[in-house]
Amino acid sequence: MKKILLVVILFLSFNGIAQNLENKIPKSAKAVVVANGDRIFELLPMSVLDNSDLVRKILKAKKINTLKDLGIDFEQKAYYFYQVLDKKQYHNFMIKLSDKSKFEAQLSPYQKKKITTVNGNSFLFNSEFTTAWNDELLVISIRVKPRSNYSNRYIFDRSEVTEVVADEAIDEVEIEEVEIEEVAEPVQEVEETIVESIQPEEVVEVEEVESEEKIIARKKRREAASAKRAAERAKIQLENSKYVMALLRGTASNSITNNSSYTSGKENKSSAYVWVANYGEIIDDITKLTQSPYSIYSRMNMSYKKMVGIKDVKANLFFDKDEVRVSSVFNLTDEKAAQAKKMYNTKLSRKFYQYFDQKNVLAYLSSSINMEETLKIYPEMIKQIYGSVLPKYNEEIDVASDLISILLDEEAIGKLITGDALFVLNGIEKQEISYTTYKYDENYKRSKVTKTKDETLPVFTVMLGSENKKFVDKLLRLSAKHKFADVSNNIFTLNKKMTKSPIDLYFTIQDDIVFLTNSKGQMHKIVAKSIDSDLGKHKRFFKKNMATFYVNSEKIIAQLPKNELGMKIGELTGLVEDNIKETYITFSKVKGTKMYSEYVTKTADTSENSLRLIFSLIESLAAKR
Amino acid sequence: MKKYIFNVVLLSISFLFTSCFEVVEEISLNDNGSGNISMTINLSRSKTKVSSIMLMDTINGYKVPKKREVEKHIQEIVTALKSIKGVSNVKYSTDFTDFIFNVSCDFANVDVLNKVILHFTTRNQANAVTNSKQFSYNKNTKTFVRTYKYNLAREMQKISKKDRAVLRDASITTIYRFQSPIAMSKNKVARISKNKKAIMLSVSVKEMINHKTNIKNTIQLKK
Repeated sequence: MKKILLVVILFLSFNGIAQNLENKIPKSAKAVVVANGDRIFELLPMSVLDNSDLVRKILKAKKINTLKDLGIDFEQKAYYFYQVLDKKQYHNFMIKLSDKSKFEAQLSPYQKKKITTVNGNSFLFNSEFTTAWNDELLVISIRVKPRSNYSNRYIFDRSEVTEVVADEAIDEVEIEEVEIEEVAEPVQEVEETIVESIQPEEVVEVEEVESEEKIIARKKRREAASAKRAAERAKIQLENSKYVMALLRGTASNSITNNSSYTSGKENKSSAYVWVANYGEIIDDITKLTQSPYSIYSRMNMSYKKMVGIKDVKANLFFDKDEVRVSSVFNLTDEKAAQAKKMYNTKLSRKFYQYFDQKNVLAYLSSSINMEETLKIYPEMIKQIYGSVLPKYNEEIDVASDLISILLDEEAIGKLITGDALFVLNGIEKQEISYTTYKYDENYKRSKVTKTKDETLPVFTVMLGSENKKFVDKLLRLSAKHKFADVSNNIFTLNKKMTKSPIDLYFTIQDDIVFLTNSKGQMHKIVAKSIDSDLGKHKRFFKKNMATFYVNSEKIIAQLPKNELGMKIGELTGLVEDNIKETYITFSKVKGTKMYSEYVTKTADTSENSLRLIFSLIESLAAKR
Repeated sequence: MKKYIFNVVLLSISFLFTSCFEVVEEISLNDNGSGNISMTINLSRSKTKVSSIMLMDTINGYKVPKKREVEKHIQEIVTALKSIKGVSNVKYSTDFTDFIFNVSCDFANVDVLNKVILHFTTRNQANAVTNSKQFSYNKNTKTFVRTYKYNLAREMQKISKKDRAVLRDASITTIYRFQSPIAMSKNKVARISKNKKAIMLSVSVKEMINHKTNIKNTIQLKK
């Protein structure tokens, strides 16, 4: 009876298993991550890692001399993939081994005892984890149950334990020799917790009245609960082993390598590649995993797959000489692409350019949408989103969305708010702030005094496109009439007392742009049109993308008063300042059905490549902590 | 959304730096043990930051009270003080521009004062707590004692570094006034006024955490 069935299954499963890892990833995988070890370790040689403080600490703890002693072939491609099979979610890792014996040497004595070996293939089962390996590869498979299943098990364990004995899974427990004493422990904990939570006098009462029958009944319930848990574990173990064996048997003909969406996104020089078959589906799976079955999401059966409208997503990570880059492609559904083209295929008005001086920009967020088209599409989007969620109310949703369309004058709103927006962080400045404190006379009689101090505050400018100057002007003048703002030279200054604003705010409208800033000087420059327009590379971002987020960390850190940060934070920020220059992320307009995104972090040109520089930086930061 | 972005930017930058506020505890004690206490919390030096925080819902995982909630809490303190036998003339003021809050009242004797002070330190009802006496006054020897048993350093260890930084530049000032002149004070940091009838002690919270100073004091009045 001991492991017989499992061993037989394992034995029958191994008939010339091919060792190409990628060929073993099933075609139906929903997401794949490829770590190109060959490329990564070309950029960051193993010898550099072995001699680093961070890795040396790990090696010391594991009592080995080099990373190679882990028995893993780091310089080969390693894979993670996610698959859903029979409503069960599987997270899998596939890694090449260079030395099986070295890998096994890292296992604990307990794990070594638990190894099942058949035909040179070894297995370790641990609850939802299954680890399998042979001379060449290592597979780790983690099965995750959606939260609703856990909830059911939780309820079942505590209230219906007497029915467990009849469960068919019990047979499998005997086959797999699951140790009962291991599962008895949690029950003991439950018992203890209950006893602790009862008031002392109540405990005495219970002990006095508890009959022998009750004790026996309780013991039986406990044993039944243990058996139930053991049975569940055995069942999971058997299912997992079958799943892993199917993976190991995988061949190229039925693998992800036949999925053109997957293969077409891979770039040769990338250090890592991420592919997601359907973005919405993944979000749905995560939500199912984390949401309670009683949540609104679960009850309404909401589907992000329908709402988001993104099909496959592909991203490649590159570590170039002086930049880290992630290039992503989002493939939209035809319907969503048609909508997105109308909404996003626009660019920031050139009128904004004259107010952008890259020398005085630490960070910015720009976005451009076609407000008129967006408002026209909006009712249709409501129908799409809620129509699928609330099919019973399709007619009502239809009427509501039409009503929105009737009520909104898309063209008029589109003129008032064009959809162009630019939020700029111009600088970090010391500003004089007044505050109230006390002075004391010679007899310590207290009186209020007003003092000033310098406070470090960000200087920012918000620019919003508006072609209805007449209306905005009226609004601003109305705010002045009601004392929410003071007006002078067409500059409106927010009344801090009336509005409870913590800082000064100035606003105006000119050149079809509404300006809002907390710097009086900046506002005067805007009104006088004396800003030295200098766009540099940002002009390309504005023209080509519907949204850009840019941060110049070097400039930001340089402007922070380090003496106020404390020595430690000052040192850490100094390190970042020396190594990380700027970061930006762009989202392109829609081309065909695709939207492109680029994330770039520019690094100092002081190392062989950006990966080595970032690793050195992490080491330095860790050392300073 | 714009308001949110603005707040995030403002806070993320301003929170890199320490904030500061001051607490002023003023007591005028008559020879018979009655007197007046005035507690002031002044956050004016950090008003930009506090105003910004007030616009947020939560900060560092803490719920940010709305203006009406702050007012309600102060009202609760005032109501509780009024219910204490021996307390009279309860007054309060709030200033949400400079963020200065003050509560004052008269007390009949030092036992009552001990009940009053509890309302500024805990939310428990003053009547229910009598063990922890912060003040004592011996009419015969004319000795006034300010004790402080709270282990600030130990309590600080329980909160995160980020939260501790908020207190880095905070200060506590105690001013005690008497009808009789002061003969002696045990706390060396405390300074006696020119007319010898008042004593002031100003300490930073940082120093208290580091056990460098304390607000404890024993003041001997001239008989």
